[in-house]
Amino acid sequence: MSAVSEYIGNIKDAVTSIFEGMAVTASHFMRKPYTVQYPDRMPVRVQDTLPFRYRGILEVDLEICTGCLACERACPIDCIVIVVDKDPQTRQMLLSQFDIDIAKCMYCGLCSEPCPTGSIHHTTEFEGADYSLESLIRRFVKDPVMAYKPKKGPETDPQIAPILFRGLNYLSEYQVSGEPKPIDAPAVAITRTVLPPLDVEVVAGDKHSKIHPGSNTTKLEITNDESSAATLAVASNAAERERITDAPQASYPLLAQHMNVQGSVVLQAIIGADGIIQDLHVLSGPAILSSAAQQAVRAVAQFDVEIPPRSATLHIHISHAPAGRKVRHFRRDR
Amino acid sequence: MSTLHTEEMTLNMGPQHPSTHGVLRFVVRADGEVMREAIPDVGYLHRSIEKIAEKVGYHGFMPYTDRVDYVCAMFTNQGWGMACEKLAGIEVPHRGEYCRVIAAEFNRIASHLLSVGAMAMDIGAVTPFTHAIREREMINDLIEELCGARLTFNYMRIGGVAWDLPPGWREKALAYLDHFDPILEEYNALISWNKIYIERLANVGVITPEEAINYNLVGPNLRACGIKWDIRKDIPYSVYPEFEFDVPIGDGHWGKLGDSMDRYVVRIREMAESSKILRQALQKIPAGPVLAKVARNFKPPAGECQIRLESGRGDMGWYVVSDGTGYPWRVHVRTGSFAAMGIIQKLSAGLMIADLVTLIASLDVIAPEIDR
Amino acid sequence: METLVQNLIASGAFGKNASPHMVAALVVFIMSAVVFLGVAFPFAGIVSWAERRVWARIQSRVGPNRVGPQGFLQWLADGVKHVCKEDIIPDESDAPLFKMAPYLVMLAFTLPWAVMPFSSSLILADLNVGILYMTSVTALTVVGVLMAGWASNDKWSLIGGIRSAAQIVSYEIPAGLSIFPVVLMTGTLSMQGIIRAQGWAPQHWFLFANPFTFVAANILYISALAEGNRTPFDLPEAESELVAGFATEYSGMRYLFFFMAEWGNLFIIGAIIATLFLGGWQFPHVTNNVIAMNILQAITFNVKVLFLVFVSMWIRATLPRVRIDQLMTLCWKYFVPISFVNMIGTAVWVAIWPDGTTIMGYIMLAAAIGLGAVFTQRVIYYLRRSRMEVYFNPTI
Repeated sequence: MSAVSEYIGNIKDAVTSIFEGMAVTASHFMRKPYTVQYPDRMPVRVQDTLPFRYRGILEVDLEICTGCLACERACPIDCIVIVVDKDPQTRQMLLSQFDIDIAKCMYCGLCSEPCPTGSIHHTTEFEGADYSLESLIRRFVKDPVMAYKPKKGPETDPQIAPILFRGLNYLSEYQVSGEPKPIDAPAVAITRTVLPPLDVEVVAGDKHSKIHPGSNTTKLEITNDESSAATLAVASNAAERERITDAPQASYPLLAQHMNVQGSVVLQAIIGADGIIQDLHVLSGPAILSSAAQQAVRAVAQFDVEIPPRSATLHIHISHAPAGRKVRHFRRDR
Repeated sequence: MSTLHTEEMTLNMGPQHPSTHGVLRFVVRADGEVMREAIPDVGYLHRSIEKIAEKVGYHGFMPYTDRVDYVCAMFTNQGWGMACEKLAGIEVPHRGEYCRVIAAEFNRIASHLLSVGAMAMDIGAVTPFTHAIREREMINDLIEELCGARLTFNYMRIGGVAWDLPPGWREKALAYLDHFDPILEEYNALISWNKIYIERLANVGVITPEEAINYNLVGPNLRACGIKWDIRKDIPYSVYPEFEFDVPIGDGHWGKLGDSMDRYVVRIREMAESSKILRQALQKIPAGPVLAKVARNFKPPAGECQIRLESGRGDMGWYVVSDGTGYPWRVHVRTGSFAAMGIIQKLSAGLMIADLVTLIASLDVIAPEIDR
Repeated sequence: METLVQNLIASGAFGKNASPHMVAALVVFIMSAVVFLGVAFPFAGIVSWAERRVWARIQSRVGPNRVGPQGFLQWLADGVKHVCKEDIIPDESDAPLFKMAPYLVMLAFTLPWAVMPFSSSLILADLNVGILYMTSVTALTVVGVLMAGWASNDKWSLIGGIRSAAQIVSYEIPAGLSIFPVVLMTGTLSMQGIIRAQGWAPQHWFLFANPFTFVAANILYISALAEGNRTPFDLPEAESELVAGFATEYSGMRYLFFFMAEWGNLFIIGAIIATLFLGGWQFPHVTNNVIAMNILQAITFNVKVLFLVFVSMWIRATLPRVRIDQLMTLCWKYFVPISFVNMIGTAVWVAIWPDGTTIMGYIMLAAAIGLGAVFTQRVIYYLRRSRMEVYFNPTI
């Protein structure tokens, strides 16, 4: 009889457990899916929804970098390369190279911990895919800059103070050894300045200016970078500027437009004496915009340059924002 | 009747396979459906992590420990931290230990969720896997707020943890636990007590207690054979003695003692126990620092140390030899999955090919942990 | 069908000297093309999309929703993708058999549509052995699957093919035995005959006619799922063990043929159950307009079949798969004896108490509604306990 009761018991178990299982799945029909439909059906950018401590792609605020090399030493994978020397004339530390290879970086956060000012920090950017491995080396130093010297009291320079504030706030998340953090400390809000819809920032050498053109076009202003005797025809005369702006424009990458990515792409162009670009490559910047930036520069078929017979290296800094949209500049707080 | 001449097939359940948990290879000698032997072939994921420790130094090795077992990254972090602390005699602050336990137990729940979900999927039910991953994603969200990453956490440091609990996190964690407990019951109703599932798991891959001890099995694999051995209770470390929790063991309710169903149910029950520990820890967490003062260039005195801790996969051992410099002389990790691979060959005789998949899934083998 | 053709010939639509046989053949060809190409194959494709959406909601996901409105063109995109793939014939394989196997499986899927009773006059061929024809031609899959497994020259495919052959052949027995109760009650094997013997109201369906047919319906449904290689019986294509079982070596459109046959079989399974047990196209006589009645009946039939297709998808998402020996145990030790009991029970019932069907219909219907109420209560219990957001909108 036990065989018969086992037989019937099996049938009963099977029917009841399958019944319960089907009830569970039927209840799931009426629940909201957990999927986040990234990237196009999101009300906000995913990067803005990530928590503050998110360890995304690294970024360096050179204004507050002290050149202490703590991050380079801490990195277990040697993906940070910093060159800092004492300038013989001014007796100050000069940062001439700060490269981070984000292809090698394993996003461990060991570099941002020992930074005294919070200059190297993780952003919430995680989209770094690109076609070339070189563009994954982020070079943060365009021209040699002075390393920052932390002051004894509060920072007075109005340009640097907000950057330092952000950096120290980032650092305060890490537990400083030996000091307890209050359990319910209020979260500090980081304000990020929002740039107006269109902004073109031109940096070449020491010159630094902003242009606010009225339409969705890119203008390049090229000046010389060395304080040498080379003189370049500045494209300030109307005819030249017109020629440049009438050149076929590069179109804003569609994906970047969708994702509201804007940023600065730093390119290095070696322009020969005849005005033809001999070499053009990307030094740093959001990968997603790099090809459009290269296209924009190449669109200027021939630069009008007057120089003594040698080629000059220009740094062309293109910043491009889609018209009519409020964008948030995630890289610099200016 | 004369014996029928049959041939044996040699199949290759290769490194690329939908259901070996990671990159594993099995050479299967089968007579039709029934296997004679399944010979495991490991080493496809060897990355020389133990050797890398000798190059990157003590602090720098912490992110590498995440990669030893990426599903249980908090435990590996904790292991490395504990080993270095024992070498140098550093004491972790009380709140730091609590943070460690909280992070580790959340990781245990996440790891077991992945294990039971993947097991259900290997048996053929696709839904429990996505439900388990959904719950795991919620835990990942919590941990992302805590330490910034979802898989390779690098949360702990030598001497404590890197970040304190963010404001509001405790309430979110408790809310998650309130959400999780009924979901676990629902998960059980969906798959664990399903007759087809029980039929697939019961009496498959029975491991006797003697075999388990001889083959060095640890963790839920060992406890499923009825042996009550949990490092958290038997060789207590950190602040586990302050918590009240039970150690579930297998009882042979559905088949023989030590079969796959026991291993599966032990994991389910361990998740409920971890939830209990978490509630206690989140209530009782004291104030204070979370990180002890440790030098930037950490040079522990020469010597060796060995620590054991209970990770998601069982008794994980860390053995560090230091020579007094800033770089370890030798690091060795002993993981539960490596031991589990040894027993597969013995158990596979007489199993069907479908059962091999069940067996591997029930032993909760994670390939990177085997090869490091 | 025949009357329509004769009327058309008589009215001279095909010319004065039209031979009735040729005209009939032509009409049959055109109708077959319409049914197969217009209904059967697109249905097989659309089911793939529907299955993915249904599965996704069960799994707290969304499913394909980008290609076309609500992702409806996903199956077309998949089809185009598969067509564009390289047609790989493994080197050592038996090429003619390898190529022929998908066609045989497709044949097994296509042939039953000839007796599919969409409405009282929309049936390609009202054979008087309709249901027998249907079960026999669906068994042709065995040949195709076995051929695929052998000709692939791959041990894993071979295992998959042999498992599948054993499975389909074994489950033919309970399926056939479960058809007998219905045949005993109606005395005919013709599809239209069986449908006409039922009424449009649920208590007049054979499902609720007596407890034996209720059990027989369930056994027939499960056996038909097993014959169609659907979970919980999808060992031959067990993804986690054998990658794709007998279809591992196939790529491109050949691979898709196997799966179109599987998805299309869902309709056939649903059609068999709907015809035999759920009253088929029966609809209350609301109008004398023949065309309107036919349309209503066709809609009824399709609704019933599509509900069963949905249940098949739902079951596939919920249950794990059984092992081959458990599958055989289930068939021979559980289903076959129970089917015999059903058959004998129905025979006894029909002999002793044929009038009891009406009363029993009401009682069984009440019991079924009770079961449905218990089910709904469990569903609401899980929904409430989970604290997850309730969201009824299927279009997300």
